[in-house]
Amino acid sequence: MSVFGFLRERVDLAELAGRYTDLRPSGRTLVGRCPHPDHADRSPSFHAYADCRFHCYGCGWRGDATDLWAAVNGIEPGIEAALELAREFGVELPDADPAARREAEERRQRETELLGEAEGTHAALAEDPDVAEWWERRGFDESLRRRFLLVAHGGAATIPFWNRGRVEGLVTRRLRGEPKYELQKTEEFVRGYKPLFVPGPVRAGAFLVEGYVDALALAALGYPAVAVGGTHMSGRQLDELRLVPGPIYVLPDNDDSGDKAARRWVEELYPNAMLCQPNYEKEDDDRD
Amino acid sequence: MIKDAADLFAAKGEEARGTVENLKIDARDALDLALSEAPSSRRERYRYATERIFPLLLRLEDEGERGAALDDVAGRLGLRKTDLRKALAEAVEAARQNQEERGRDEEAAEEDLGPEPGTERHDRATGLLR
Repeated sequence: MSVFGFLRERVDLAELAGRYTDLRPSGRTLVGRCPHPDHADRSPSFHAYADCRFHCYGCGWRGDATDLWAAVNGIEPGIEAALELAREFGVELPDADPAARREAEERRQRETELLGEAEGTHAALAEDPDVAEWWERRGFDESLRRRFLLVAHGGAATIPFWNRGRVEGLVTRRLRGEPKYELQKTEEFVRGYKPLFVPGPVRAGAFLVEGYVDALALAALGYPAVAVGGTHMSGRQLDELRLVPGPIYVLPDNDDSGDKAARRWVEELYPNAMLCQPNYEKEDDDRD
Repeated sequence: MIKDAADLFAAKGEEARGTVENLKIDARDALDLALSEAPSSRRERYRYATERIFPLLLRLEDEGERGAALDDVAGRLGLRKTDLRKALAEAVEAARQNQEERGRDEEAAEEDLGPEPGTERHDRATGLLR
């Protein structure tokens, strides 16, 4: 895990932001006036999310604890800001040689570029009513589309490849035709490989699903969720999953290939995983 | 037909939480699933236990937990605990030996990377360095 990821998990973003602005609960986020020194926020536009990231809908400022610390202290949002933040909160960072820290900084820059790309194409969503309507039909209203930065590009839906509050790639979802999903090349992902898709915070009781929109749907409902992006889980994805605290609820697609994949995953992750039966249409009052 | 979590959310929105909670309640782990699919004859069950159940039990790192799980398995499959304990102990030992052998093979592979002094390969390599 990079220095930045380490800090995201150990520095309470709400506590940090709370030093500079009053935050109040609003649904599943905390909201307050933007603490960026260059933004004279007249109404509360700053949202702090449970997956350790923030977004100001007034000035467009986004990021994590390191970005917040850097901005309020007038320093560059990189390794030096991370080290200073760690000192401030008494967080002992894992030993990392200069090469590893440089690599973490480069990854972070790439994540920031991808986030910028996603933000840019999010604006295009307003100009593509077909894609916007497609998301609405899937249950993703404007606030959810804004929260997950669901965007339109070339007539297709584009999903930022979220991983614990950072964007590590982009996924295109065709509204018609096959293949339904198109990913960038593996080497273009920030890590050089396709990680798990994690659209929100991860904690015990997370759901493991096949599809990106499955994970987004569960995250929209307030559940921690992780998607593999198909029925094949790579070794690296499995390693990442072993770090997720159990129990993990495997929620398969209701078809043969989904069932086979889910059973494999439950065995690989035993004893930390449980297989849910995909009785999606069973009504609550059908239970004994 | 609602095929997955995305369809469920599209169909029910926030009301989908009730369904999701129910799906969690009925969830089962791999051991439970394997035991529910055991064959009917005792002889087949014993083989099933060694081939299908033991690989799962070997993932339990705590010996006490493994022993307790084995007792559950014996009870559910109607097999003798002593027979299963003996077979599992052999499986644990075999797994330990496999791991040691893999470790030795990996060490040997790393040592093979450098050429031995006095060999032609070593002379060619040192020649390139000059």
